[in-house]
Amino acid sequence: MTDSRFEICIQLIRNGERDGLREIYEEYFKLIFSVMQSVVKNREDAEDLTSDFFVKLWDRLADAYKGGNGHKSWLVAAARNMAIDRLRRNSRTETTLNAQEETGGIPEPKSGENLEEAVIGSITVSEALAVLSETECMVVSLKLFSDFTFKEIAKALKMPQGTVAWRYQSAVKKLQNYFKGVCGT
Amino acid sequence: MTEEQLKQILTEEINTAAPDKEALWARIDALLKPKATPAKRSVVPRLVKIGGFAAACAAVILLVPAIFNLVYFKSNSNNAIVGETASQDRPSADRNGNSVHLEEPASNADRVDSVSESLPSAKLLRYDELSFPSYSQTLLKCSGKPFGGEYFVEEDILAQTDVIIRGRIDKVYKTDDGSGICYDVTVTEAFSGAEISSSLTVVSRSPYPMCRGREYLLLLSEDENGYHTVFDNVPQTEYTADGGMVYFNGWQTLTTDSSCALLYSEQPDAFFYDRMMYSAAGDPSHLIAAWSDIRSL
Repeated sequence: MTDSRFEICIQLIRNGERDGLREIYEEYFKLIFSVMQSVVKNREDAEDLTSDFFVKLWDRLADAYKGGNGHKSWLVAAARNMAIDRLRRNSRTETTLNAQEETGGIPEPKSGENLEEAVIGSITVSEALAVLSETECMVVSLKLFSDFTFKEIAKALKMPQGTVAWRYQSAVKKLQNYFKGVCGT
Repeated sequence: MTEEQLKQILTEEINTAAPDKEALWARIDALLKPKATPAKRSVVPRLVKIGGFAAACAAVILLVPAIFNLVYFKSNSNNAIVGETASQDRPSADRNGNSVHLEEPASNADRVDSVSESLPSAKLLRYDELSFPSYSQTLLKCSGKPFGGEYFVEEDILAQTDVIIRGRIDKVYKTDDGSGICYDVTVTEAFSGAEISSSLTVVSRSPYPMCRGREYLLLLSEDENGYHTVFDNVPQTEYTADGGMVYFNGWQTLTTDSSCALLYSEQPDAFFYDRMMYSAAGDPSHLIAAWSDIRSL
């Protein structure tokens, strides 16, 4: 979605037209969900927060949008802030999965699949992402899943671009080492 | 594991873990409170900002009330078209010599608000839903720099316009040196008040070429070489088969109660994808009046 199109949708929301919200939702609900999940590390809470986010976008956030470039960064920043606020309000500690939990043995590779792929397939990515910090998790999700540029991520997370790049490389290295360790190579 | 593999499994995970789209939307929709009085705030026509900073300068120029009033509505006893009086609300004459009363807004900001409040908020038409006369697509490209510069400023364009016509494109061909595209135009309506031939040749260097068979509202400049388009960096205003008009959303004077936003292209990344408007009324009278005022200064 272009910035111009986003502004049109925001204008529709301000005018009470649900089509504007629906269009933004269709485009970005997975992005918002992934942001929420990166922070709260819990699928059900992330779903609740995603729902709350779009309701809040309808009620208040659209009025606060100032336009210009970078609507994706704006959405991510707003979603992340909302998730962090919820965490603080609920005084929850982050739950992480024990990355060393047994998964029931290494599966047999299927035909055409090598051992590495079979092992990786049996590990949920959430377990792998649990080795990352919240910021690293967010950076990796935005970069790999949502194809954000480092500049966009820097704007969304309010950190220097160089720091984003470094965090990303660090997170990728951790994930690669994690999968390498699980594969036993 | 490569980054590409990481990307693949992460994408798969998020797609799998994401909630059901329709179920979540139903949940959201149930929580949305209707907005009691839809605030029809302005979708202020944005200025084309090709190349950078001058868009901000152009916005300031447009929005400074004194300049706006000076350009549009300042009384001028030498106005050739107008049966001018000293009163603040000047009558003006349209091309048939009929008096048309112009309201003088308190400020440019008020005028922008009053125009934009009348815009239908939700209707988004598609360009391919409109009907046009039969036409031939122009595939010619020219090498010359577009006329009019890069920055769209409505008053400046009107100030540089010598002639405004409604014309049908009969023939399209390149100039001898390939720098421009020539359009042989049959004039179906002339707004200039001066003598205009019933057919003329217009040179344009626009990256948005016009089509043979279609009708356009053309703002032209005349020099020793003939007529050329005044501003090339937006698509020219064109007429639909039913008398409506498709125009760049920077043209405030073309925006009427019947105007609505238009999706101009199949490609969302296209520059003018959502920067064009459609007016069912197809009424250029406000533009002509504003041009007349500017020319008379």
